[in-house]
Amino acid sequence: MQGDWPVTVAEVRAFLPQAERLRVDPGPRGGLGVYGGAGEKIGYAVRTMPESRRIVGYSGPSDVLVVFDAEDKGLGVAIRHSYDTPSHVEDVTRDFLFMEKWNGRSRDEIAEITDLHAAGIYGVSGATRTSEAVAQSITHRLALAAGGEGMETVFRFEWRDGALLGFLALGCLFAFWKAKSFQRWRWVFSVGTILGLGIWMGDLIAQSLMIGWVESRVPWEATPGLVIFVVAAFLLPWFTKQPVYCQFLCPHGNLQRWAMKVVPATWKRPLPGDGKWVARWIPVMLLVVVLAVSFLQLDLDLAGIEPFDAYLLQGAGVATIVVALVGLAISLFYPMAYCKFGCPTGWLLEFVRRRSGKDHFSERDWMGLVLFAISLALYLVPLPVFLG
Amino acid sequence: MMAIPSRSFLIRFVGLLVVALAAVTLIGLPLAEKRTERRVRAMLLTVQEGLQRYHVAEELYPKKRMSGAELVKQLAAGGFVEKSLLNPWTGLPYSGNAGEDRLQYRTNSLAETYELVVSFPGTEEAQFRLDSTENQSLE
Repeated sequence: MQGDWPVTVAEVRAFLPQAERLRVDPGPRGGLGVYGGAGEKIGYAVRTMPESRRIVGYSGPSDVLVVFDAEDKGLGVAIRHSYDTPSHVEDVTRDFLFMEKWNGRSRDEIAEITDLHAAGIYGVSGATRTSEAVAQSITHRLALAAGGEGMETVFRFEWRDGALLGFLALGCLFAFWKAKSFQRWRWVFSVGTILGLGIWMGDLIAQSLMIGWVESRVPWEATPGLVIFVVAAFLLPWFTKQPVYCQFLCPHGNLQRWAMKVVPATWKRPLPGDGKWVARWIPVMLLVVVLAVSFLQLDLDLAGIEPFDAYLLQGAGVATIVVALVGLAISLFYPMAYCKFGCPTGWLLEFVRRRSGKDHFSERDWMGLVLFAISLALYLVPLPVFLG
Repeated sequence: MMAIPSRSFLIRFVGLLVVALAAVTLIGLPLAEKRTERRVRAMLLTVQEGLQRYHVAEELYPKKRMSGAELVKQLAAGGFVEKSLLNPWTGLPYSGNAGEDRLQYRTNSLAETYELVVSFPGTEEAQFRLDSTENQSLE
């Protein structure tokens, strides 16, 4: 009943120091009775996996431990393991206000929660999707334990989805409607993407997001706007030849465009031909890193190899901030350097872009072939060869 | 196709090497960590089996608190584990090797229980714990 990665006494002791033994509850609640040294029952513990596996945050589900005292009042929750973006999970774990919202509530009270906000549970700033998924995992698991249906897989279209689709629609308009009277507002849209899409919402297309979806599932019903946004980012350049996301929507791309205007044109340097040739391999190598991390399940936060998480400000890790700042600094002298030579996501979007009049096997195709060969090797070669 | 001048070829080769090295470093560090973790897990389970065999033979666990190297030496002397058991942190045989050793063995005053603890480097915090009562498996 404990399944993979069973709950240990040590984990429960963080909330119930007198815990000595866990006993599987064979009843419908499917949790663990917690017992003290004299054999007396002192509490109850449940984990959210596997029942809440389908509840995906930003890029994956989380396994949460919930511990209750003998009166069935919540003592605390802990994220045991998560397939979500590690930096977001860390933000949630560090937010005591969110983590302690469950304390003192009865098991039935938590099981009956259907509206988190009405219950006074709010998402963690900078990790809203992750924290909401953690909260929903808990309420879903306890609702099932109480004999309820739990959280249904219902299509939810919230303001964030609407805002994302709004940005997408405006981006398409700027990409395809070339009327001067409209295009003169592009700078406003550019600032809007940096402030709105980047800093306010933090919804940038990143490797950590896509790998999380590939490894768990695409949460189409929970975040339909984001799913459509990502799908459109790939389909638009494929069908229309227009790199709509990279040129019009990406906040980091737009910030670089503004950065270009900061320094005088005379300071700018063209990158030498050999430098360009070498730099073109940087995003490919980063994609090799992404593949290795995903196939071998390595402990490396993919959010740190791209600058996009830096827009979350509060929850940003050091690595992502460094990538963002260094990329911007280089862009001052080599315009759009990060977009052209550093962005693995941009490389993928450019890879799928249809180009006319090129029916030969280009350098980019060779790079794609290298990536495909590496993926195949990582998939086919037995894991012990890599992991020992 | 235009021929690449030899200087350009060298610059490109060295540049590509630097980029590839950076990627290998990014992959290599967590990969090495994961490989060590797998070796530690395998070693811990082997030592646990050795301790259980020891207990069957001696009806008690080894009586004093000791380091991983000392424990493996004692278990190997009695034939409860292979003498060639490797130290997962150095990759060398555990016995007679004074390299990094983050395994600690503990028992109670009557030597009726055991506890194997692997701590994180430079700390007392347990990374892995196996014992005779609550944590009998690593998963």
